[in-house]
Amino acid sequence: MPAINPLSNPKSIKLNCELCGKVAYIQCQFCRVTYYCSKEHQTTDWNGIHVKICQLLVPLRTQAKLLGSEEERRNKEKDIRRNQKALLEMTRTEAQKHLHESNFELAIPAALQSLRFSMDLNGSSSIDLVPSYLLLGEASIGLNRYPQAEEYLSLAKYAVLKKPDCSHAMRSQLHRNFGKLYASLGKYDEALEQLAADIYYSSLAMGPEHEGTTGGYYHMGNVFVAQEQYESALAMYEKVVEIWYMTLNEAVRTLEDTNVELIDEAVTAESLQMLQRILKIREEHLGVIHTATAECHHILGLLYRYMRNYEKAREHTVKALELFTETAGLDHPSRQIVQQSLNYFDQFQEHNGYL
Amino acid sequence: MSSFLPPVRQNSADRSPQRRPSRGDKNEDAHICVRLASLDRLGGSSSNILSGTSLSTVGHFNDNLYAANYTQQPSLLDTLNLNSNQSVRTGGFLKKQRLCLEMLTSGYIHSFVDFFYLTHQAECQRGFGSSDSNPPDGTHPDAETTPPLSPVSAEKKAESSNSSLVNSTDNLSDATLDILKSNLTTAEKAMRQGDSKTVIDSYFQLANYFQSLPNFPVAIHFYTKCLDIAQQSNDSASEGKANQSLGYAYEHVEGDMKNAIQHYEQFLQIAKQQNFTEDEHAATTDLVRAYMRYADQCHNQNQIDEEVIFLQKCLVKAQTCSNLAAEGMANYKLSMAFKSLEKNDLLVVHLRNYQRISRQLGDTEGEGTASAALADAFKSTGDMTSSIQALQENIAMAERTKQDRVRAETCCHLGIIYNKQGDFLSAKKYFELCFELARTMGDRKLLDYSRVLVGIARGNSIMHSEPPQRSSTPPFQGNTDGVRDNIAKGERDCIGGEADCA
Repeated sequence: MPAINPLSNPKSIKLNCELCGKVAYIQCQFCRVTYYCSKEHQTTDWNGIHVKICQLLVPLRTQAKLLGSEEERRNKEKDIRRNQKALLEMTRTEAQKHLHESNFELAIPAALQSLRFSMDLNGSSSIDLVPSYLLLGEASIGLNRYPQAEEYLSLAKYAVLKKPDCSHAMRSQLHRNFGKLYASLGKYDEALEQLAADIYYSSLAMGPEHEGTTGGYYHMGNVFVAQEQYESALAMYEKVVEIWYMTLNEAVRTLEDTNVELIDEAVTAESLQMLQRILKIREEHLGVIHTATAECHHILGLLYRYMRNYEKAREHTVKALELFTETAGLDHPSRQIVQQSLNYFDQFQEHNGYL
Repeated sequence: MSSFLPPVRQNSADRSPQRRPSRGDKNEDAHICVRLASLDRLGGSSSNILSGTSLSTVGHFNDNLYAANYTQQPSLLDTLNLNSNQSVRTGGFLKKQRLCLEMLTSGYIHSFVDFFYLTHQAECQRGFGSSDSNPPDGTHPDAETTPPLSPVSAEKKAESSNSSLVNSTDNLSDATLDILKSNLTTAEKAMRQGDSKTVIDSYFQLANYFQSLPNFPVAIHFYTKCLDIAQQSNDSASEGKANQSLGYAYEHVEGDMKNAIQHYEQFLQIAKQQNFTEDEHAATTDLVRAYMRYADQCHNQNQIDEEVIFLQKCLVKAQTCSNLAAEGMANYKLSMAFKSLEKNDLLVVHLRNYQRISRQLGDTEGEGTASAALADAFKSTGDMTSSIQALQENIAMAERTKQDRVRAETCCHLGIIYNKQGDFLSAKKYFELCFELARTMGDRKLLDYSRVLVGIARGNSIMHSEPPQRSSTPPFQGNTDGVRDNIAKGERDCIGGEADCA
């Protein structure tokens, strides 16, 4: 890895670390336009986002050797803007993916890059910076860096306050992140208020029974658990389960019939996390042998089926069937629904050669 | 136990209820000016750093800034009420919003969902998210942060927008919003405790309230909830009451008599099974009314066969609950329906029933109508004897009840029949009677008409082998064509038949 000496930089040129802004001692050997203060930061950035955008940064960070005609300069500027937009999308998606996989350390470089590109495109006080701030906030919460999280979220809130007609979806995300922050800090009442606002705005944006709103219900349920208000928590989780049941039923059917994916990877990863935790809490508070637990197993089965993890899908569906048989009886409609689902699953696997 | 069925909440008796500890006081103050100033400093410092090639936000924070930010959070409501002018202008919206937030922070999620659907119909109908403003530069923040609507959600959105909850519930008064919230949360709390009676009572209160507004679609929504819960908790009395209420509500929703009938029939079935005699009587009465109304609808749509089916059902139920008036009316309408279907034997049976019932009830008008209709029916089948008998009965009834007009008209009819049969003496007798009655009533048109008929009958009786009788009326002379034309122009408003000149 080529080392650089800050003292040998040209006058007024300061090369700073891509992640922390301190003086840089290392240069990326591939693109040579990215610098780091230490090997650790270089590795983090590489794994977080740099591996995907290394060469793409070169034209953006290198000055043109020749100044062409005005038309050429205009075209070059257009190209640069186009590349920046594409990179903005890519970095945001990557940051979201890392967040959903709980790789918060790796999410931060991606989110920082997205913020940089967003500022280059839209200016430093645009509403379009908010998604990047939210990503950074969420990553910081995941790393328990609460003051930084609050900083990022405050920046996002300021941008939103300056634009009163900001979209409901954005407000919802902002409030959700504040809710998660306050919950992590143990300020449960404030967390509930923020999450309530998240759910409200999410309902305005997508509807109160959309899978996008389930995040708010889920986090609110977690806060109620922390406050030992189990009744309210279970009610929230029930809603989450109900919505995901309907969504996954349709999504699995569509996927297996037409091979069209209705829910993207990031969302399924998030829902897996939610449903697993809900299952755990139901087992703790209602018992392992309970219809609510059976219901969770069934829905997890559907989710794994959607994710094409057929082994796990079968495991959970069979478990659900056993529990419903034990708790509700052979003739209960819920048990029959699970049985039907298992039959369709068997047919699908036979038809596609999985059995 | 939760269910996979669409969202009507199940009895959650088997969830272990936990008492909630009381919540602490909320954080109050809104030092927004201080906050904005600190944010400005933060935003400014970040942008200076970010404009270069490095970023110094990770691992860095300003201690003083952190302290200011951490302790001076504006409360949520203050944030929502940022612009006081806006809050005054959009007070209704803020009230709905506030109630939604209260329900959520109290953990009443199902109440929130119902409340939201009921009070945000504009969003449901427009499509969620479409009310957002246009973002700057053509970019769509929703595309970045909002996952696409799944087909299930789209379907539910469509369902909700087309559902029974749609009926301009966006402009509910504050009092209505409070009642709605209070009852919904009471119902949800009771549901968690397994108290289905309280749940049903709360939903009934809401349903009755919306019915009184009147807002029948919303009332139907809540009555349906009552019904579902009553069925799940085997509460037959409530189930019956819910069915009856649903029947009544559907009656008032245009074109939905079938649903109304279905619910009334269920109400009756439950009442019979449980031996609730009062409910049984009420259900039968409701069914009589519903069947009759539906039969009228079928009649208006020219669905005579369907009309007959429901009139027959109505007749049976009317007999069961001894509702003579309804029984009579059903008989009459059945007879008219059979007349359209050209089933004269059944027409006559029902008319006779109608006549008998009208006599029982002292309804002379009905009796007269029945007699006239019977006469027409017999006449159309060529059974003149029965027709004559029916008309004579009518005349006797009219005389009894001093209905001169009915008597005059019937005499006219009878005279025409006798005239057709060649019994000119009888025809003359009845036409003269008609003439006398018309003179008594002072009805000029009828008088002129009957005078012509008397003349015709006299002329006929003279011409057909009877020696001329001395009478005060001059013998028939002249041309009746002009008179007949006048009659044809519609001056015959009292008689349906025609004067036949032999």
